[in-house]
Amino acid sequence: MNRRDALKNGLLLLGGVFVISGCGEDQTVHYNNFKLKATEVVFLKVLAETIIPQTDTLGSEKLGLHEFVLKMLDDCHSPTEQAQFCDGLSRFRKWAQERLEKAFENTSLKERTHVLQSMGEVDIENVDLFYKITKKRVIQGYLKSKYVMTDLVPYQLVPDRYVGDVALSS
Amino acid sequence: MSFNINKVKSANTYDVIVVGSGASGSWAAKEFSEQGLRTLLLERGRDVEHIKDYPTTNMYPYEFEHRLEMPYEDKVTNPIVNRCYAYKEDSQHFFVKDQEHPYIQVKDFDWIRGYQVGGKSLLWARQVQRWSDFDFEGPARDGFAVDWPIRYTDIAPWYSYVERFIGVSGNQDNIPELPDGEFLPPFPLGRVEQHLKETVANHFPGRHVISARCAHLSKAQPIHFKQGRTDCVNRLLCQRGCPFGGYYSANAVTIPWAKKTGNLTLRTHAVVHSVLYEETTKKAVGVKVIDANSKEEIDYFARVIFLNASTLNTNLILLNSKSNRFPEGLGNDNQLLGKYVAFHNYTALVMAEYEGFQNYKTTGRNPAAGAYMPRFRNLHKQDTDFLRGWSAGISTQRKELIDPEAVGIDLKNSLLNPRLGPWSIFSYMMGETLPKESNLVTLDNLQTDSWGIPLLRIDVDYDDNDRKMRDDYFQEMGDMFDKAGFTNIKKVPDKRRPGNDIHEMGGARMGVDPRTSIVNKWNQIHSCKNVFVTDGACMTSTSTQNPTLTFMALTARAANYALGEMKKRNL
Repeated sequence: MNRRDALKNGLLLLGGVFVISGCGEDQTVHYNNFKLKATEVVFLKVLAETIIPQTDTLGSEKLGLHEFVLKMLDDCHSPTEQAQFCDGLSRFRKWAQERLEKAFENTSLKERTHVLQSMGEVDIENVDLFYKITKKRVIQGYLKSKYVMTDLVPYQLVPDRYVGDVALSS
Repeated sequence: MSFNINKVKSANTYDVIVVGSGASGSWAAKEFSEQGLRTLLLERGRDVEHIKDYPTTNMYPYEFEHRLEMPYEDKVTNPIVNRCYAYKEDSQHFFVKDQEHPYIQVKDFDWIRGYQVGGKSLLWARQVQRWSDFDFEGPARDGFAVDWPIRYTDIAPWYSYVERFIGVSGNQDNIPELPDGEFLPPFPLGRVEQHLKETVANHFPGRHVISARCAHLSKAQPIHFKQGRTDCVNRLLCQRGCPFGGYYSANAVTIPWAKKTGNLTLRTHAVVHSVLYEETTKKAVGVKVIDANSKEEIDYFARVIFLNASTLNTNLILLNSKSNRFPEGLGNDNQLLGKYVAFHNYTALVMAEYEGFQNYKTTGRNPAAGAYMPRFRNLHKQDTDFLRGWSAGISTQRKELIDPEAVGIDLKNSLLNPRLGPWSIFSYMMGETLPKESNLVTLDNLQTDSWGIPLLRIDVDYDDNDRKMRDDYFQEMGDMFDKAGFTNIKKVPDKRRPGNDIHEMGGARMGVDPRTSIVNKWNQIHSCKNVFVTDGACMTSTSTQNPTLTFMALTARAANYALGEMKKRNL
């Protein structure tokens, strides 16, 4: 499909990675191997920011970690896991909505954090897997971000040493 | 017409042809070109020039699209190479993809290959241990394979010769079964590795834990500076190619050295189809090459041919070198070519934790990877119900603990300031497998690759000896760990397929008797003396040591023998 056809069909190419179709509430984001509603992507962004929030150092949103989650989901997970992830995401939202009596993304950081702290009690199909993948990829994206590896825990490309018995000062 | 043919022939004629540019082939190329012989080095893949062709070498982890992980589609398309521990986003361009070079697995076999200048020497684990007479005398003593035609004294000077040139870090450990060499300073043992060493020395007579010997420049010598190399700087990104030349690769060391002589011609994209045999002179006269890109057939000629195409590809070339004299493949009068293939048994891991030495940690990265335990089983006499034994690698480090349940600020703090947990101990076995006639490679009668060369059928498997050895490793390593006070000892079977040790050996084994071996004590094919096999294909047995150092030493030895014979006009 060329750009003109894409526009005609209401699709917009974004950086060649995914396309958005539809408008308003019904907007759909198409990745190579799955699609999500635009609102679901916003939800994931808020979820990721809850896992790694902005403090006196940068958090998930500024680092684009939810985009990293989706990139890894798209490229490095099986079609089965992609489907389970999308399903789990949708069920997670419903469950959180019932529990919080409003959308997860419309609650305070404190409330959202509280919800995530009680994830161990949740037993809904695919929710656990969705959350596990999200958390694993958010943590990976965070620790392996240029920001963390440069400013917070500098990665040494050239350590120039190995010491096998460094005594720690107690 | 004959004038033109002669002209082409003369342009394509060298003193020596070396097939394959990896660790062993580049050593042959170095020896011959240094001595003034016009040497043609054939490589089936592309060129990889030191530093210039290491595209990922200075990349930070965050610069990799998937943070080193291979995408799902690649895993599905290339399941074999994806099972190799070193195949990641930073090194994948140095590995053969499954689909590009198919072969037939009669039984499960992961054939891991690197088709480029330097071959797998860019990717190897760089562990280098000498063999001893406990290894060379093994087959004769224990009644398997055939007797090696050489002993330790034959190869010892060549080990030294190779070690001095490539640079090997290690201790003089004074262990007869693991002879000392020409070592640069060792990398130190970690605190808990030292503790294990002392425990084993005190409670398990005859067993040793040493600093692993590795082909890294812990302290570069003048010869290494002359090669353009400097000290290893502990990056441990070796599989990307090292811009410091901190470890030995053909690309950083032997190939540039050979090039500097002005006597080396490196021909890439040259897929060797077969060795050309001349009935009248009863000699090989050259090799038939298919250009990998144009598929054009080209013949190259030389007085001496060295086959270093990697173990199984050397077998393939020999099997495919058919003539009236050798209808079953060059040198295959005894129908043993391609048989007695063996490898190393890596089917077991033992892991543990240690709560001691909580006030110590390691820092930096260890190129030697940690400790090494040479074989002690069945060493002086048979003391188990299986033949031979195993060696082991052992590495240790403090665990960094994060709180897995934490979220938000707590998680951030936990990630940025992980707590030091207990020491974690990891060990793997490397078992000697017994070469057997039933472990073999053959050519497929029907299917060929894109260059018209028959596909290789690989029929290799574990046996009961391997399983018993694995159980012994579980038992003994578990006992040693227990004695050292380690806890949470886990004995984990590794489902690794044969081949994924990347130590395949044999098929054209050395031996005294032409009726039971393919090459002689100088690595010459018994029945075609100007063809030498000095890569892994020549190995009569496998021992427990990582094999590459021995391939290189055998190659240097054979090349210098060939040089002498050429001078005497015997070749």
